[in-house]
Amino acid sequence: MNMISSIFEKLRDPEYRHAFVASQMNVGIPFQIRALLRSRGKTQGWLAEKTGMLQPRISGLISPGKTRPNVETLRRVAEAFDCGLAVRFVPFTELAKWSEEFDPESFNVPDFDTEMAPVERKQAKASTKEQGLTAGASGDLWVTRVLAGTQAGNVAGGACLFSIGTAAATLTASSVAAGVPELKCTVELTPAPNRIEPQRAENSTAAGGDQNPWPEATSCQIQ
Amino acid sequence: MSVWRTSIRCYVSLAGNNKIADWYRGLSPQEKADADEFLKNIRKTLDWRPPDYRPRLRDGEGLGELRWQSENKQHRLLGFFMGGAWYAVVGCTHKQQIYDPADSPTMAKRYKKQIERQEVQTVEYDL
Repeated sequence: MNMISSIFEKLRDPEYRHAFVASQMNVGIPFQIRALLRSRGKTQGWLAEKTGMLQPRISGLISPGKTRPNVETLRRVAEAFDCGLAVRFVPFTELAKWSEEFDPESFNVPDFDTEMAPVERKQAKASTKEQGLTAGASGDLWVTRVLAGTQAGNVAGGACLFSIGTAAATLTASSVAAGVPELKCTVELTPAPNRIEPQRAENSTAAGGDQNPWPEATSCQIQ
Repeated sequence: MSVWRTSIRCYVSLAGNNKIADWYRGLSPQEKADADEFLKNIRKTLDWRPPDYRPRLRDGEGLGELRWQSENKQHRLLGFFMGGAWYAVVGCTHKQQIYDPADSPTMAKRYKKQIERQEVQTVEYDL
C-alpha cells in the first residue's frame, strides 16, 4: 500500500483525521521551522532574538510534538523569517497532499526581498522599455526596434535611438554605464538569423524616410 | 510524492509478529497521527541527528533511538543502522530515565542480534 492510499484509509477514522490536523501543527511545524533555519543558515539563537522568545521556547518549537504552537507564535516566527503564514481551512485531501509532498531537506520560503528581486528586475526592464533604453544590467537582452526616421543616418553615423519594437539588443557594460535617459549609442546592426536578409538590413539602413525600414526583427548589438 | 531517503525496516519475531506494528496498534489516535507525521518526515531525511535521533544509547550495544513527543509522553523507537537501512526493533515510551516497557533496551539488544544473525525477518515500515 502506498503512502497516499494509506493515509486516506486512516483518515476514514474521524478520531484519526482530527488527530492528523493536530499532528500537522505539533509535529509538522517543527520540521518546517528547522528547514527554514537551515536554508537561511540561521541558529536557534537568531530566531529567539528575532521573535523575542527565550531560546528554550525556540528549542521546544523545533522539537516534534513538544509544544503546540498557537497562531500568534507562528505569526512571530513568520515575521522573523520575513515570510507569509497561511492559516486557512482546507479539505483533508489538500492537507494530506501537503504533508505528503513536504520535503524537510529542500523546504525553503524566501524572505520578502529575495522573493521580490526577480519581480523588481522585470518591472525595471518593463519601465525602461517604455522610455527607451535608460537602465539595465550588462548582458540584458532587450526587444527593441530602431525608431523610424532616426535610424538611417544614425546607424551610418554610429548612433541610434532605441524604443520598443521587434529587434533584439543586448546591453553591454559601456551602454549601462552611459545611463542616459534615451540611450544613444554606437550600434552594429546585424540581421537576426532566418528573420531578415542582410541585403534588406543594408537597404533599410540607407533608406530612412517615412516608411519603417525595419518591418521585421533585427538584432541590434550595442557596442 | 514522498522521497524516502532513509529506509526503516521493522523487526518480525520468529512467530511472525511485526513488533513495530504491535506497538503502533497500542497507540491512541493522536499518538498514531504524531508517529505517522514524525516517521514520515524522518524517512524523508538523510542525516538523522538530535533532537530527532540519538545515535548511541548508553550500554546500547550499537542501538540508537528516534525521539518525539506526543500526548505529553516521550516516545521512542529503538533500532540501529545496518546496510543503509534503519532497523526498528522496539517501540516504547521514556520518562525520567526509565523506559516503558522497562525491559525495552534488553529486548532491543536481543532483537538486534537476531537481525544481525539473520535469524528473523524484517519488513519495510508501512504503517
